[in-house]
Amino acid sequence: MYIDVSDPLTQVFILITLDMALVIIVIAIATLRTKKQPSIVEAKNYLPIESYISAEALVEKNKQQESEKEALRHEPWKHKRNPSETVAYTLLLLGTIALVISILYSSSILAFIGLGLTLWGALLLFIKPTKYVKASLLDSTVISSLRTVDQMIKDLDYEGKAIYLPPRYFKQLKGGKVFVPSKENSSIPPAEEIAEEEIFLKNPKGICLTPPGLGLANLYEKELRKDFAKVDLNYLQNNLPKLFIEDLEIAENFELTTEDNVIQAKITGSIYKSLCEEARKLSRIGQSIGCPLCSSIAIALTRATGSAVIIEKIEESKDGKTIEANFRLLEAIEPQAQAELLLEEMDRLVSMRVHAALSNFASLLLTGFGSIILAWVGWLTWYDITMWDKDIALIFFGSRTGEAISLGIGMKVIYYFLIGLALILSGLPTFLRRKRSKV
Amino acid sequence: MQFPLSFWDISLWLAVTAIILLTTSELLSPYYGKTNILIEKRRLTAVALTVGLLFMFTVFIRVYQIIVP
Repeated sequence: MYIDVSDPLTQVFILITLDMALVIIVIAIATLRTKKQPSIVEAKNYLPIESYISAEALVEKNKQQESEKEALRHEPWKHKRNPSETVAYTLLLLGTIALVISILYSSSILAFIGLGLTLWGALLLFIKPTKYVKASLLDSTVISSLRTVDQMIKDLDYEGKAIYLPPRYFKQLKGGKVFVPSKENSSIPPAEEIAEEEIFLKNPKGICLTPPGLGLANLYEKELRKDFAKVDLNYLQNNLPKLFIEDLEIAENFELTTEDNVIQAKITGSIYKSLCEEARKLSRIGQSIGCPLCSSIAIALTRATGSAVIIEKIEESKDGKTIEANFRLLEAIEPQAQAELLLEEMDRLVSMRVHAALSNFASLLLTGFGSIILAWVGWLTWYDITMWDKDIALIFFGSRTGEAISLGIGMKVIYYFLIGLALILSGLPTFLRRKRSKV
Repeated sequence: MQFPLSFWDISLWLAVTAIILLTTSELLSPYYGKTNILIEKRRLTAVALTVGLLFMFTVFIRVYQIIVP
């Protein structure tokens, strides 16, 4: 059967077929690789939790866990050589060979094949994951530390609800502390006492710990390139979902809603699901300090609101896919300081709004003028073509001397076209960028 | 002995590749729940956009050639 390669439709058909085949290969490799390592998405080998064990047994268990952790550390090396790399290099090699042969035999089909294979080979190398770790490895590493903290609080018999302290209590900007009081309904310790950086506090009696989600909260700030202490709750509501779903891929869905002093976080399909489940079984961690994920959200909230936060309750849906955590803001800020903060915030907001409005107005004006000029150029071109049967080059580059649009300085239609285009290009991106950042 | 594809052939190839890459990157977006495919989705999107921009550049050259005789 004869195929007419010079026909553009045939070329498009061949290209689509080739590219689709390559896309399927790439997706198949990625999926196969995922299936080959099921523990990446599904944490296994949960460690049993004992209600009480002696100190010797704890030390022994710790040693055992350390050796397990060491053994697991070498596990990723087994997966270092994955088939995708081999396939990528093969595609690159085949592509290069096809390109060379296409030049030798002047074959356009071989050239298309060569280009396609080379691109997808390079792409496969470029998009391969480099920083994924097994979820079971992650869980096993973290759960031991959580269990130690839980055991410690249990032994001390501290029963109060953990209070996440706001950033004004610390010297370090990226710091964070959670205070576990000895009794329920205890007050927040004074800043001076926290500043001494002691673990055991006397007035009020309690323990001051580094929360398990501190690293995660700092990672959120790093990823968003924002200091949470300088943003408000709205910013978190608008940006945390994108961070959780798209950037860090921590969860399939994330919602943050507020009602008075209570903030509810709804996390669906979290990668920390198994770890959170394990953490919830620990009596002092589960509903007080929270799992690393809930803890990180609590830290983000304390930083953004400047208020102390407690985790009221953490609930799991029946299918175990959704976690709902309620955080309560404690009114720890003094009224005067709060008023000053509010005034500062209002000043900042007003100046920001004025700046944004001016900038929006300027960009809209530029876009508007540009659009009008381009529309006029379009109408003029249409008129000249239909009425005077002029060709496009003559319309754009022809002299307009004697006509009003020449303005006496030899203006041509192309100049108007370029001015309109420049105005739109300078106005529209600014406007769209501002709108996007607002969203 | 010369490369058998003309500038316009490459433009066509870029267009088809850009469409496929952009569609793939959208379909693999975490918003569709496809979080278990182990590839750098951000990089894929970046490549798709780059190829799309390259195609737009070839279109711009074509438009310029039509305007300028």
